[in-house]
Amino acid sequence: MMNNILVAENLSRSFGRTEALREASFAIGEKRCIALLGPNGAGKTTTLSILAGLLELSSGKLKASGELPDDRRRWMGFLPQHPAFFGWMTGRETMLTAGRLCGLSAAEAARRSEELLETAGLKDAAHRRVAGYSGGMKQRLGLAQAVIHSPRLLLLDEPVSALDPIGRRDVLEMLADWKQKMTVVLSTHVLHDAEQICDELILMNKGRVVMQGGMEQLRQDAGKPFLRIVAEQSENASRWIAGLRDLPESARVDEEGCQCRIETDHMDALRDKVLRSALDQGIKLTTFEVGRKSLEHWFMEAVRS
Amino acid sequence: MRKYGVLLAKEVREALRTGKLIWLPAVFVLLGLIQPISAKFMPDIIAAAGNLPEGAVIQIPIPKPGEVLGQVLSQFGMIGMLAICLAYMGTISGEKRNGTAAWILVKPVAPLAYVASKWTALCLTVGFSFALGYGAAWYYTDLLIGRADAAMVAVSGFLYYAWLVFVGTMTIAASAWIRSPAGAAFSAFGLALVLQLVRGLFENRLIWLPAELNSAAITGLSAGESSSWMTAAFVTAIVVLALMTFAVKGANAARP
Repeated sequence: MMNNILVAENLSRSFGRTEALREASFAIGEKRCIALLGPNGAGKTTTLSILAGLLELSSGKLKASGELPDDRRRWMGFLPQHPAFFGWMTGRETMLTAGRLCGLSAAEAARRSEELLETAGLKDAAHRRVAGYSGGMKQRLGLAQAVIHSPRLLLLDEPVSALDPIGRRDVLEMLADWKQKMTVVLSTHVLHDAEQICDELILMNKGRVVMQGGMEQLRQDAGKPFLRIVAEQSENASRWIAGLRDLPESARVDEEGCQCRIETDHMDALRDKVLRSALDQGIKLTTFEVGRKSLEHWFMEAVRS
Repeated sequence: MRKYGVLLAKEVREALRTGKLIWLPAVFVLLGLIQPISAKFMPDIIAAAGNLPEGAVIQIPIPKPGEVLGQVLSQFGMIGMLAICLAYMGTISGEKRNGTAAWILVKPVAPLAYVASKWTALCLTVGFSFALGYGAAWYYTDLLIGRADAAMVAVSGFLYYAWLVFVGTMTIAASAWIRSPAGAAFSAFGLALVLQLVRGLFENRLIWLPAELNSAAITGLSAGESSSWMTAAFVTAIVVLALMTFAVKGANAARP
């Protein structure tokens, strides 16, 4: 069994009458990259703020792994949705201050700062004031300062949502490197971003955790694999396609003229049979596709229900 | 403790870069210079203003050096105090609003270190500004009018400095709880004025109010002997501690 560095049990948080989070339970494993996925207002930011210690819980429990210090802030880095900096500081000063505040010695903070400024591609801008940075630069600086003390857990609130394609690629590349060394939890409302770097998914909707699981597992569970066939128009073909319904492996068949879509649990057997019979009967296939319902599809369904 | 040092360095650097460490002393120096100069040259100023009948004799006694310095402190009491309230009105609420307070407090930093660093920066900035302004006033009084009693000048300066720090502490505490900077400035400034007023209304009672520091400093300079301010100093120290605790709670509570 994998080690969990943080386990959340029935987290609830309400603001006045609105319940932002209702009995959310999940586990954060070591060296995993976990996406908190959900539409706007699902409670992702609330969850991250609670994990970061910026919000108190209304009820519920957070259990950290025993070997870690009680003060979560020591082994955790956090980047809020709209990272805030002191505009009058330079990039380097921001890094140094962050390092010192996280308890690094002056020398250590200086060493890590240079290293991370380099990684974040901010070396040339390090002496400039942060007020003059672009959105993408601020985001990269935010990421760099969040990991200055080499945290075990890195919490990122919408790290790529506000970025242009280049900024997005830069950030994802930095994260791909860091997820080897620490646990990354990031929130996003874009499934595609989650699929790109994360290996686990926590799906949230209306303050609840709808499900948690490995990306691969969820992809498997998202729906049965299907076979889509299109044949050249002919009477023979129509008859042949109508006949596919009788194959024992077909779980569900949608047909329309010379096209059909068959869901099945036994893809290999079905594929063999269909191809063979098409050859036997001289059917001219134009499309023969094996696919699976996409996570996107599944995400939309889960959120709507 | 080490983090307190880091935060203090940040506060001082911020005061330098945002110009607080320039305009606040400038206000105090200006206020400090006006009083001795206008006291010395008042007859000339009035004569030059004209509109006086030929042969009018103007006789305005030039005040004693101590009195001039006392008037300087009264000047500090309005505009100087307001300047301090304005300079610190957003010191916590502003950082809370733009998220930089969260940036600091999400790191392993005690809220006390955060507030204490702000308070120390206040003491340093106000100390620097007040010392420059008061020093300038003393120098010009010495030059134009005469020498004031050095011991009295020092004691009054210290008492007045303590009063200004008290007002600044109220501003910091207010900015930890009140979202709007103007609201924080107004409550701190208003409270200081009310304290002074109440102290003035009850001549010989209520000498334990922090505002006694202010009046003891001024009467000490103009009358040559200061009333007993020990109780007031003690009370002020306690209230400052209480305000700091209050501010720490405010910085911690309702984080964005």
